[in-house]
Amino acid sequence: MQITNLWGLLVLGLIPVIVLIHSLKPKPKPLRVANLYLWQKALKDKKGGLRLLKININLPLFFQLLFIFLAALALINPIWIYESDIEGNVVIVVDSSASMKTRTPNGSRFKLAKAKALNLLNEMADVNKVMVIEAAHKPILHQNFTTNRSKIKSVITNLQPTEIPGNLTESIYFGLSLMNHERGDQMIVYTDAAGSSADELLSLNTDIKVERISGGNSNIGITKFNFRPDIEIRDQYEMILEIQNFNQRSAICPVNVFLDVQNIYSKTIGLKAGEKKLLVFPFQGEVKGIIEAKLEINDDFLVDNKAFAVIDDPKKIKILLVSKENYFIQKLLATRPNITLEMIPVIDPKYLAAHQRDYDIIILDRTFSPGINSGNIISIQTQVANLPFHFEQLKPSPVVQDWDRNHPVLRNLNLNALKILEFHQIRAHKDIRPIVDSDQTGLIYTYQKQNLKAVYIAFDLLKSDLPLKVAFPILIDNMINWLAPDPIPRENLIFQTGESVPVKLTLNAGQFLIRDANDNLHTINSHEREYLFTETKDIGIYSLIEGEKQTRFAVNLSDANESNIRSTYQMTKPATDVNKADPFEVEFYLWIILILISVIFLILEWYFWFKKQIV
Amino acid sequence: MIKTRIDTFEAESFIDESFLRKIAKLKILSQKKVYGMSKGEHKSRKSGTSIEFLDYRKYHIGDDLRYVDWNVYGRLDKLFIKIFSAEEDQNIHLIMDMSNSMSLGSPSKATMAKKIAASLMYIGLSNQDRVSLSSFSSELGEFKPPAKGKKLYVPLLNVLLQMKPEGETGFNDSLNQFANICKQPGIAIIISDLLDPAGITEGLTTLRYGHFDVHLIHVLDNSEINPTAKGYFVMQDIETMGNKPMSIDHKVLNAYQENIRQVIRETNLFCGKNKITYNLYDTSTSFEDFLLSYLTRGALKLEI
Repeated sequence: MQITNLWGLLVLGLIPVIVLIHSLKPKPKPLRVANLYLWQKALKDKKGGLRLLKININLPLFFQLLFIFLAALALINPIWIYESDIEGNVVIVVDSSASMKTRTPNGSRFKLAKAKALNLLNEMADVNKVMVIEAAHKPILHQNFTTNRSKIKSVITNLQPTEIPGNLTESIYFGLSLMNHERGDQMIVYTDAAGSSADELLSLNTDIKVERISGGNSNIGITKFNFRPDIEIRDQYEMILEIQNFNQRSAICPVNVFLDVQNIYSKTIGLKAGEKKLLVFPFQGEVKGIIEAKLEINDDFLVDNKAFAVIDDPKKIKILLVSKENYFIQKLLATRPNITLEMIPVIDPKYLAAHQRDYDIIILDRTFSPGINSGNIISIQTQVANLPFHFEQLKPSPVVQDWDRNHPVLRNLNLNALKILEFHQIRAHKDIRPIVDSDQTGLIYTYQKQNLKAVYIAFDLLKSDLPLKVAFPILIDNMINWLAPDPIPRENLIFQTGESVPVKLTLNAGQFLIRDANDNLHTINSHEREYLFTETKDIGIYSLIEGEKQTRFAVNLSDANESNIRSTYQMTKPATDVNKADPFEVEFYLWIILILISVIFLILEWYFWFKKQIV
Repeated sequence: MIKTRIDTFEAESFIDESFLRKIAKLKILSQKKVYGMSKGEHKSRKSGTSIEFLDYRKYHIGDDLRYVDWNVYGRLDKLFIKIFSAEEDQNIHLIMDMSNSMSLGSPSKATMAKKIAASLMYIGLSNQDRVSLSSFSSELGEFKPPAKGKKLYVPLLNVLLQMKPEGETGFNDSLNQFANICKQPGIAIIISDLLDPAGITEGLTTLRYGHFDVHLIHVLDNSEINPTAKGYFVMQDIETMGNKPMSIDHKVLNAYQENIRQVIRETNLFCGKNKITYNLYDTSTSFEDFLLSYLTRGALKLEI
């Protein structure tokens, strides 16, 4: 304790003055009464009696004296000096990457990291503000700088490990950007430093202290897994499985692959220390379901002992063709196994809503249509009432001049030699550009607004040589894929933990569900047809549920760096030990507290005085 | 001579003249029949010679033959005396509490009590009633025996004005003494603050037993009914001169007010049970209003 202004004690001289003023209070006034016996009886009836009354009368004096005393204490400016190990604020970074799930004899590495962080909080001075950052595949700020210890403890206690490859470097840079180095802020990183590229950063930066969490070194893991169909042979698949031994000694590892519950592959492999083996094998037969590769070992890191893949039927697409007859379209769509085609000659307005609900795509071929507000439309020389395209007069022999090669509808198309007998000139909104342009007006347009997606073709397919060209099936396929895409591209149904999954909604933007690997349902409201799902924290099978349709995808760790649970970090400086760190003095000014307390006494004094007045 | 003139002036100015003229038309009626010394205007417990027939009785030797009913004699050959209700003057006894406690208040309770007494005295004398005046503190003090005649008003008023509050209250003893001295029952109007720790019931009971029609006018200063003084005081008893330091807050005030209300309630209850007319007079109200409004409600049966 240090006192900086002894002159403040002079204020205590006010105490005798106050006492004197109170003693100068007029003596009890004489009051003549004719019925003293009634007054005495009244006093006797009152609980508490005279003594309590006297105390009550003197309460303001007591509070005034306390106020003077505390004000004098505040004026002498007492400073409470104590020792602390950390001078400025503290940024706690907790590594929550997959390797932190490594088992140790005392629990997981993550559990040990949280325990150490909580222990540090207990030893830290109350004045140090603390920030908590979780280092997963990206930095997550859980708590900004605060002195509220219980809040920080609660945040740390509630941290959960992930199965995501870590990105410690980015989290450290993020933390460093929030630190004030002149103030003496420090960062304490709780990490196993496994597979980290932050070793140099950790070693050289003096503001960073590393609490390395060790324990559990045995691991053999799957570092790659895929199961894909052979594009040339029907019902032929091939699997690729990469397994690596991260131990310092040789090991034998039984490997099993299951299709749902059926074991479709089993092998025991021997792996030398640090050896990596790639297994590729074909699989003949109809495959539909979840494929799980499993290492039948019990090492310290279980996350990479499993990997998943999904083979599901392609998405069924229902198409309504409104046409009197169109041989080419009928023929083409009938060949597609995942397409259900129905055909009607004209569209009845009263069933329009039902059609929009029941069919993924409606093809309007040389017919007429009432206004359509939602759905996926291919309009072939058909005027749709509410769309901003108006057919004008028929013109002969347009020559294709240019087309948007990057547009998904025109991908891989060559329309150079396309011959068209006649076409309808289209007057479109000025902001809408055709994707296929001719020497006159546009020949093909696309339109997308809220829940409506449309492709406008200005000419009769049968009055062109397009159906006879290779471009025709590609164009139709492109249009179907653009109008009703797979929610997740079928060629890529395996993701890495932490990777964002792009989701394309089939019809209406709105609510859809994703069931994660732990069977938790995520309800997602999207205002767009495309959404990026980022909650791939755990390995396993995820399901995208959109109405009655379900699309499954697999999430694996598949990261050799993360599977290498041995730390590569070289301890070039001693680990943080708050007990051994050089302590420094922290000054805590007490005058604010004293002033606050004295003001409280002053308010109490006023309260009792006021109470006396109103009674 | 000069003193008498001054006294007359003081007495006449003590109460507003117009008020006196107003109340001169009032009569004080007793709820009981009176025992008067001479014929008056009030029904007596005795039979007499007024015109109101009361009863017959057999003739006794010595009876006034003028009251023999000769018609009855003619029919029955027996002498019967006609008895009439006698109308006598009534006695009004004004008994003033002149203990030191009556000096409290501004104006003092004693002053207001005197004004009430003077008014009642004037009413009595104006109606040819016999008015007596007495005062008491620890014991019965001055006693002016009953006398009638309006010309007595000023002398009696002078006596009233010369009464000074002093001494402690001896309510019961004083009334007992009065009952012993006064052998002419009538309306006994006691004007007192009734502040006697020994109580008041014994004295009132004695008067009732002596056939007095007792009227009690309870005079209290407003500060005694609704005290407001708060703080730290040394309470001085005006009679005993005892001191008591006391801090008065709202709780003490409430307790005191409850006590004084209880005293009033109990007195009222006692009076009701013993056919004593009870009236509370708060000296903060005008005594004229008290007399004209409060007493006409049945307390003293003023008859206009």
